[in-house]
Amino acid sequence: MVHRHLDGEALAKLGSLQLRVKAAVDGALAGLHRSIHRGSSVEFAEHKEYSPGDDLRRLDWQAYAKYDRYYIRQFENETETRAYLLLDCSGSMEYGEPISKLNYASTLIGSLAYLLHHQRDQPALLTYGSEGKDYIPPHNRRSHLPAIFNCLENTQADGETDLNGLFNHILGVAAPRSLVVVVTDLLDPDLDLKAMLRQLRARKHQVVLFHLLDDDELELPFSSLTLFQSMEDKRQIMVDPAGIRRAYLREMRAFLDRVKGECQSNEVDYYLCRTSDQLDVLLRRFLRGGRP
Amino acid sequence: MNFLAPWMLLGLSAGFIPLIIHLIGKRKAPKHPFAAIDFILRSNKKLARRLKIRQQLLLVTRMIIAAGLGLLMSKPFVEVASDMPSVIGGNATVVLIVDDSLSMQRSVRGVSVFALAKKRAAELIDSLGPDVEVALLSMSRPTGPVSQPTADRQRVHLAIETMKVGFGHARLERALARATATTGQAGASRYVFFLSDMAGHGFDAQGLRVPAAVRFHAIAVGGTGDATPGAANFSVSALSARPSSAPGQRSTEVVARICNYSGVQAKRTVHLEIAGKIVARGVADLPAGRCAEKAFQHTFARSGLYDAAVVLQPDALVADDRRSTRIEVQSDIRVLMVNGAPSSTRYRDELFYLEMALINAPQSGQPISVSRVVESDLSRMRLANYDVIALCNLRSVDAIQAGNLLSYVKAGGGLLVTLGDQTDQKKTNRSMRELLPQPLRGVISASAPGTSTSALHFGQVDGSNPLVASIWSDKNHGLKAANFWKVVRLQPSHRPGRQVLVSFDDGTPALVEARLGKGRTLLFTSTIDRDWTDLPIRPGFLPLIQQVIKYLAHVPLEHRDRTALVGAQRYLRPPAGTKEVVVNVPGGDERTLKAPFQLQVDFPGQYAVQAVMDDGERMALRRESFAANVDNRESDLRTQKISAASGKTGRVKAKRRVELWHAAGLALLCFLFVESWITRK
Repeated sequence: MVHRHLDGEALAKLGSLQLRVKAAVDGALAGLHRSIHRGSSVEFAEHKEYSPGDDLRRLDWQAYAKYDRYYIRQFENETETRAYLLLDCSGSMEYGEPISKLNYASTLIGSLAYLLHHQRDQPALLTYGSEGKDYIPPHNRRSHLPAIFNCLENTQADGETDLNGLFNHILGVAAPRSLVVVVTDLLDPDLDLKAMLRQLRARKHQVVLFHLLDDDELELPFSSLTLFQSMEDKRQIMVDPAGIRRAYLREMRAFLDRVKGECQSNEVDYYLCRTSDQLDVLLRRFLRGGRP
Repeated sequence: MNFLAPWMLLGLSAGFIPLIIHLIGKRKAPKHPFAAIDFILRSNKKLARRLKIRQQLLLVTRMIIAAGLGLLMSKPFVEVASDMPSVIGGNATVVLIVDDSLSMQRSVRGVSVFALAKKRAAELIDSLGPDVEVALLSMSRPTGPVSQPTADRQRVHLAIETMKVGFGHARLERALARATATTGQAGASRYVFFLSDMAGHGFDAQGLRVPAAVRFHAIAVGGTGDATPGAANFSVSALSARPSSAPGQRSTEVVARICNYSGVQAKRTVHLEIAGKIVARGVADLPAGRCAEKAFQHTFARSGLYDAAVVLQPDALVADDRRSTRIEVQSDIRVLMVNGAPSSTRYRDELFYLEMALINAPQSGQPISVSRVVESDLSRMRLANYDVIALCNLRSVDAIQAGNLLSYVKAGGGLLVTLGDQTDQKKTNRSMRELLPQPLRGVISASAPGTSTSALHFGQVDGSNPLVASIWSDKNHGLKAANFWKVVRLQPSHRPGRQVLVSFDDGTPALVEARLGKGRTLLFTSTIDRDWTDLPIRPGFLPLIQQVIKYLAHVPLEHRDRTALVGAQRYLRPPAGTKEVVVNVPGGDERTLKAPFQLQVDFPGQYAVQAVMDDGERMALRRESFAANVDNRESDLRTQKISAASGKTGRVKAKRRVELWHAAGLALLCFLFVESWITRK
């Protein structure tokens, strides 16, 4: 099932997570010129001219017969990667219409898990909310993917955000040199993002941060007097959004700039995404290493 | 404050609507769970104070706008004490009389009272209801500028704009009569408004006649009472010039009468201008409320006509600070009297009465210098040195003398020939054939000298001749009673230029004129002393002789007033053969007049008159030129209150409605703008 524009609205119309994931993955793969399935460790990637010290087992004799030169065959992935997929399940992730940030994030993580599983990597899932944490360790057996999907579908967003706890937990369980993918709105005033990222990088993890926000949060488009209520505690405020819009946007822009700066300084791949973004496009962008 | 629709004041309660909406809106504000509430809290914290003020301002502004709508619909107005009338509406006729007399030129703080009156007139028209018809009259010209009531306000406004203040004196009565006639429309309310400085000279303070059906309003402009700005006025009210007794041949005394219309004694600087140049300065000491004379002495370099003016230092009314005239500086009329019958007894001398008549000429007229010679000395006299030669009872003149006399007359000289018992008629006829109007034909004796019975008297006169016209009026000073016992008859003649001016009652010519070249000859057919007549002892003898001499010397016989009042008609008297008269009026304009050469004097200043003859030649009429001055009745700026003998007056202190809803509407618009601005902020 392929959607031309797999944005938030379209995703919301797809009932189950599996459908959403399939649509996203198919859409993402359809747009790539080269299949992601080269990820198998025996998949040929390219030739490299021989140089002393290279493994002679990978010498391509057919190329030698054809070109009378020594070429070494190289492969896309040579080891099984452990990928830890972190999902923020705080109350703030429940926000968003027609698709909540949590659903969008679940689909994104499910799609990544699907792709990783199919290239024989070992995806792991860690959801972290107020009601506790669900952790599915990395594995590559056939029943692993349904378990991840099941966990994602049963995840509820609720309670206060504790992103520091999320990061600390992954630091405790993740093997070094793993891929750590975090999907969160980062709306946690207590989060020490800089320190967390530094610790992850210290353990040689490759970190990818999907910063997911809703359009309302980025633009504050409300016009009439509104009683805004916190989604994680009992705080609330009645305010005329038009009166504070300019200051709000200034605050938001500073926040985004700060997060992006901290990611860049720690060599973290940073993706700012909206729930209205087309998920297949986002995935494709991710698979191309950040290029559109 | 009053309201036209007071029940609409209930709409003021609409002012609470924004407050209620605000409170309800606050209560019913939509609840919205929001993830990024921290950002809202932080933004609001920074803007809290400013937002609160803004919201309160917005709320107050909206409350004012809502309440203002109710206020606007109630149509508020205030009543202020005013000399303007209450609102006039419905079927009504209004006539405005605007005072445009000289006194309205007075300036108050740099603005003329007339300009203020025009402004008030325009305001008055604007305050009238739409169905009211308006006419506009000026006090000096009650027939306009808008003589008939009209609903065309634009026309009336335009007429007000184009109205100009005059220099004349005007009375209200004439304009009021015209105004009441103009309002004469049955069924309509009738109003007459008089806009004036209320200077007392313009109307009869004791009462004006106003029809009972007409409401009369007098609107004072420029202030009233003693504190009226600029009411302390000074003017040059009269100006005269006469030969002075001071040394100098053409010394002249110019006397100006200067009046002080203020209540305090004052000193004003004054100067005399001759031909546009200031020739003398002085200070006039003016008692309070009275006039004083200021005299200047000036010696003219030569005879002639001069423009002269006395100018006072400027005050609020400038036009009356200057008075102009034309001064004629005359040279003597030189008369040579040739005595044909001298006598050692003075009163029996032929020239005794003639000389007495000439040397007793009045001072104000042109002076006459007399020379007398006997008959034998005539041949050695230089005739060109004299303006008039009188040959009195000469025996005769020889051919050379006659030729000289003929040349003299043709060149413009005047010759008077009187007869007597010494006259040799035959020789005279022969030698003076061309000089005499008619040849002599012998003496007739009417009666014995000294008796009045059967004596001859002056009879028919030729009134068209200026000489005769000047002396032969009803007051002929006893000339008709003069007795003539002997006269010389004349032979019939048909020579051109001959004219019998006066005849005796039997038809015998008494005074005959002949025109020769540029000069004249007058022949008197009796004696100039008392030998044949008692004319010399008649009261009319002196003016007769003086006029005859002036006539022969080409001096105008009639005294012509060389000044005129602004507003008067001036009848100009050009010479015969004039096709049209061109008058250069003050300000540089030129007016061309056809017969009867009547000029309306509108401006003060010097008027130069020229005649355009039938052949197209232009000739300056210096003696017809004149100076015009303003009527000094306008100089008294003291105001008076009008009381009308009839009509519904006494509404001078009426209250005037000032409508506020226009201003309130404007204020509401401003508040709407402010509300919009705050909302966008």
